[in-house]
Amino acid sequence: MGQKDLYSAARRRPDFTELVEDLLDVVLTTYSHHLIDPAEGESLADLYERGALGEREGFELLCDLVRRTEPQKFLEVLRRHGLEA
Amino acid sequence: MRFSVELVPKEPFWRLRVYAITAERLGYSAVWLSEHFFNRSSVVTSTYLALRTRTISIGLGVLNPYAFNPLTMAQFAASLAELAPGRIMLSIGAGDPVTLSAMGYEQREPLRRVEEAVRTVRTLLAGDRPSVSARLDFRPQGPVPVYVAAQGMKMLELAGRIGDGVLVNSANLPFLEESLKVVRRSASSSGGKRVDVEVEVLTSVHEERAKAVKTVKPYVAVVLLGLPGSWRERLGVREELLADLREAVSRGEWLRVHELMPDDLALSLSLAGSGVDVARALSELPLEMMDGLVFGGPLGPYPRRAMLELRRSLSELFGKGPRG
Repeated sequence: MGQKDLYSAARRRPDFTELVEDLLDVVLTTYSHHLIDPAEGESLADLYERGALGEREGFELLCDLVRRTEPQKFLEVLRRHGLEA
Repeated sequence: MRFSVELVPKEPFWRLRVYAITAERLGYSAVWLSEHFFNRSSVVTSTYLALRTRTISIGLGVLNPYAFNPLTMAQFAASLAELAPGRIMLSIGAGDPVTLSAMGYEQREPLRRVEEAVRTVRTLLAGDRPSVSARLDFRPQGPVPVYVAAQGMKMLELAGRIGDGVLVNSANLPFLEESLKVVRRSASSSGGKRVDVEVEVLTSVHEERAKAVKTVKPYVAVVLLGLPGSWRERLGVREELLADLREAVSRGEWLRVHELMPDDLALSLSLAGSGVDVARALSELPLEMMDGLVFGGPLGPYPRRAMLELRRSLSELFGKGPRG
């Protein structure tokens, strides 16, 4: 499933907010944070501040960062919320 | 009663920003940025967060007078106060011996050094000169309260006497009550001056208690090594364990610290467990003797969730949020 489709599928889920929070917590706690460019991290923090992680741009950035730093956890989180990549 | 959190600048800046925004939204009073030479600079982190937050107070340090000249401390605080007027607090303490040793400093005459630093900083922030050439050519915007971080009885006594505030570092109930009595007695015998007493308690929240305890262990080790010897004796800490912990901490071998630190020792110096566990422990603290509580790092394996969970616990305990 492409990331665009993933957003549409995720958005329809009743637990979408929890999904976003779960993904955020992976990004906030991964030991592989060196794989995230500081500018990308700032963009994420900007979106968090604006409450926009549940919007397309925020969600796609979040997915991109989680997939890059914790590919296995990314799949696990999606599965837990009834989705697949 | 105010509630604040400590953020440890071992994380990338953007993460600290997310945590600070979370704390601000949840109504915590302040974020304190701890200073350790092996982490990101608390001064740079404070500057960053001063620009990236709006209302939450920012506590700088604890800075110690061995690694930081008091004139430099005043310069930092006054500069920050221009970026975030009325939101900056500075804390000064004696530092911990293990870290100071690694930096090549010996912790000599800690009481005298801390007192001298506090008086110098306060004089400079007030626009006065502690000596002919020492000065700041600019004034801080708004007040910058100077806190003294203290653990031992003599430092607590000094803190109550000279600080605008005191950061008391202890979660062990008997120690905490003794500490607070010393601070309050000292403040009242110094002309009954108003002193803001904040207690910093190492905190780790997770629904699985074992994970919460595991996360807090390295932090407990650092605090334990800085405790007065008499307190370590009362906790029943063996000398061999202390020596092993000292070596592991000085080398940054945190996995070894996990192995060495017994769970009950970690629990005796921290609030660690589920939200319910922490709420129960909080209710046993002598809150009536405190003006504020700082939930000290690590907060938990998931710090953002921990802040949320702590907020829920506080609401249940007090019927209101962290600003209470």
